[in-house]
Amino acid sequence: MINRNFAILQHLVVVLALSGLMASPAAHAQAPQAAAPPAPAAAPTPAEIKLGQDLFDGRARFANKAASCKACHHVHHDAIVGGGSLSTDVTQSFSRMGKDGLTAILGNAPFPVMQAAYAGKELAPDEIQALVAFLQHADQQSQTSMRQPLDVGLKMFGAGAAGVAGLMGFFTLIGRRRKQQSVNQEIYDRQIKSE
Amino acid sequence: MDIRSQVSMVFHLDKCLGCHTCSVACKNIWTDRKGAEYMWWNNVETKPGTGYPTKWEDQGIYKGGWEKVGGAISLKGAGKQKGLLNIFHNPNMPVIDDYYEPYTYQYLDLIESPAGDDQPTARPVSLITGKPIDIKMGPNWDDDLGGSPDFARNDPNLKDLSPAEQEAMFQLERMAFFYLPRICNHCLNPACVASCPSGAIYKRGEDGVVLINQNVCRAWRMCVTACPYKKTFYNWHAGKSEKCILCYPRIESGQAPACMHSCVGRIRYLGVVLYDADRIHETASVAEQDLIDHHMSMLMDPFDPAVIAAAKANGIADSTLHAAQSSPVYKFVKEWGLALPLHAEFRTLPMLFYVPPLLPVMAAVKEVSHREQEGKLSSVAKTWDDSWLYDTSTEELWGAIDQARFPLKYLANMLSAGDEARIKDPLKKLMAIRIYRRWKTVGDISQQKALDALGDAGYTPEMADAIYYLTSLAKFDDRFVIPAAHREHAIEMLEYTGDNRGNAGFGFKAGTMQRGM
Repeated sequence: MINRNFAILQHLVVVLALSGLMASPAAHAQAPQAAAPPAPAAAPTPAEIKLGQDLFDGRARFANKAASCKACHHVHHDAIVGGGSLSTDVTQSFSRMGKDGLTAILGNAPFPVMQAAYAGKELAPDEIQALVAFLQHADQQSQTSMRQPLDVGLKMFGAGAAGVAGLMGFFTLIGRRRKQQSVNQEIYDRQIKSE
Repeated sequence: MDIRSQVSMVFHLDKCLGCHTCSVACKNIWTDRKGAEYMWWNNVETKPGTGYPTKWEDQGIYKGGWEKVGGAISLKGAGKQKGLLNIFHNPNMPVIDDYYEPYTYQYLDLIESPAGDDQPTARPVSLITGKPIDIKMGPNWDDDLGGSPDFARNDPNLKDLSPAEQEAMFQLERMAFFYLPRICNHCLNPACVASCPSGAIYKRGEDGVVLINQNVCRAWRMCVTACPYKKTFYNWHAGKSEKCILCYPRIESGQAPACMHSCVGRIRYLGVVLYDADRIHETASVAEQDLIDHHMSMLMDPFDPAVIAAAKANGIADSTLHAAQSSPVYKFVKEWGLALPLHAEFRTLPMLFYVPPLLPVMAAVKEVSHREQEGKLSSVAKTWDDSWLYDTSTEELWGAIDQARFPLKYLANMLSAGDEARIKDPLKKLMAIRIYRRWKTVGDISQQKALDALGDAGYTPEMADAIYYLTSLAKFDDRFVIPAAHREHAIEMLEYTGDNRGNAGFGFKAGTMQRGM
C-alpha cells in the first residue's frame, strides 16, 4: 500500500518534471530540486538493456563469478520469470535511487547480506552500467504497461463472507426436506457406548 | 400384443421357516467382497418388523417407486427434473446406518495373544474402517420379533390399523409373525431403470432380468433411492451400484438361482411367464385398487394360440414357450390365484409373487375356562393361570380367517395394496386346500364339508390335488422350470451377427478394418 502510494507519487513527480521540461525552459532548472531523486538520465542502449537482463537473469555470467541478481530479487519484467523472494522487489528501485544511487549500491552495497554475498566478487563497471540500464528499462516498462492490482482492503473479505452466508442459506433452503439422519438414530442414541 | 417372456418367481410364505439359508447362499456367492459386506441381495425379514434397510416400506422416508400425479405416473423421488436438481446430493439416500455397519471380530487375538492375566477377547471391528467399533445394528436384529418396541411396532404396514388392533397384535398370547424373504422383484416397470441418469440399468430382453451395467454406472445412486424395495445397493469400494442378478450365470446354464437352490423350506418357485409389454404403461397407471387385477391380466395364457403366435413373432423360442406352459409360477399366480405381488401400490409391477401365509391366520385364540380341568387336579398341582386357547379347529369353515389373530388389514397393506377382500381370497383358497387334505389324510372332516370348502374357493378336487402336489411334494424340476438361455438369439438384441452366420469355421466379430488389417 505504502509502496504503491509512493510509486504513484514518484510517477507524478516524474510526469510533472517531464511536462515541466517540455513546457518551459525556466522550469528546467527548478525541476531537479522539486523531485527527490534525480531526473532520469539519458536512455540506455538496447544492447546495454539486453546485457543487463541476461546478467540479472543469470543467462550471462558476471566476470567475477558473482551470483545473479535473480537469486534473491524479483523484478516485474516480461523477460524475467519468478525472481527470488529473499530480498526486495527491485522493479521500482530506479525511480527511488536514480542512476547514481543504483550505481553506488551495485559498486559497494551498504547491505550486510549483499556485502557478504559479493565479497571478493565485485561487479565490473560495465556490468553495473548494464544492470542499471536494465533496471531503468524495467522501471519504465512497469510504469507504462504494468498495472498494480487494485487494493480493495476489507471489501473482498466482506464480499466473500456475504457470499458464503448467502450460499449457506441457499443450500439450507434446498436441503430443508433432506433425510436428516439415520432412521435408526433414536435406537443408536440409546445404546451404551464402550468409550 | 407385444408378448415377451420373463423369468418370474413365487415365494410360498406359508412354507418359509426363516432359516436364512438363502441369504447366506447369496452372500457367499455374490456379496462377500470389499464394499459389498453390508449388502444382502437376498434377505429374510420377520413380519411385523421394519426390515432391511429399516423402514424400507415407508416411501415417505426414502421416496422410492412411482406415484400417480393426475392421470400419469412419475417417479416419486427421481426422474428428469427432480433427478437433475438432486444429482449431486440425493436428499433421500439411505445411509450405512439405515442398513447397518458391517463388522467382523478379531478372532486371531484369541489364539495369538501373548500369555497374560486376562482372557483374550475378539473385539468387533468395522469392515468399512477396519477400526474397533461398538456394534450398533446387525442385518437381522428384528428377527423373530426381537426388539419389538423398536422394530415390529414401527412396521409401516401397521399404519391403517387402529391402536386397539395394534395392541391386540402385540399381546404376548396373541403374538404371531411370519417371514418375508425378499430379493429383487425384476419388475416390469422398474423404478431403478427409469431413475438412472447414466442409462446403466436395463431389463434384459430375453428373460426380464434387471441388471446394472458396471461399465456404464457412474455412481449417481438414483437407483438406490428409486427402488421402493431398496434392492439396489451402492458398493463404496467399487464406486458402482449393484443388485440381485437373479444368478443369471446359473439360469443360463439351467441351474436354479443360489437362493432358490438352497432353500430348505422349498418355498421358492421359478418359471417363465409371458406378458404383454404393450400394456405396461397403462397397467402401471391405473387406480390403486385395480393395480393387481390389471397386473394379473397382463400375464398371458401360454396355451392361447394367439399368444403363442405373437410370442413367436417376437422371436421367443419354442423351448421358452414350452417352459412357460409348465411354469409353476403361472399356475400359482394365474391358474390358482394364490399368489400376489408385494406392495403393488409402488407401481413397479413386481414379478416376484407371494403366496400369503395362512399359518398365523389359521389359528384363532379363544378365551376358555379351565375350571372344570383344574377341579380334577390336586391342590399342589401346577395349573395354568391364563385362559387362552390356541384354536386350530375347523368347526367353522371361514370363521377363523375373520377372527384371525393376525389382522387381515395388515396382510392387505403388504400384499394387496390395502384391499382386504383381495387378500382374503387366496387365504380362503389355502384354507380350502387344507380342509380338503384334512379330510383325505386325517378323516375327521366329512367329505361333504371338504368338497363344499373347495367349491366355495372355486376349486375342483383335481386342482386341489395339483396344488397339494406343487406345494408339498414338488421335486426340483417341478419347482424350477428354467428355459434354455438361447444366448445365440439374445446376443442379436445387442449386436449384428449376420456377417458370421453361415460362415464355416472360426469367424471374427469385427471386420478387417476394425481389426486394423
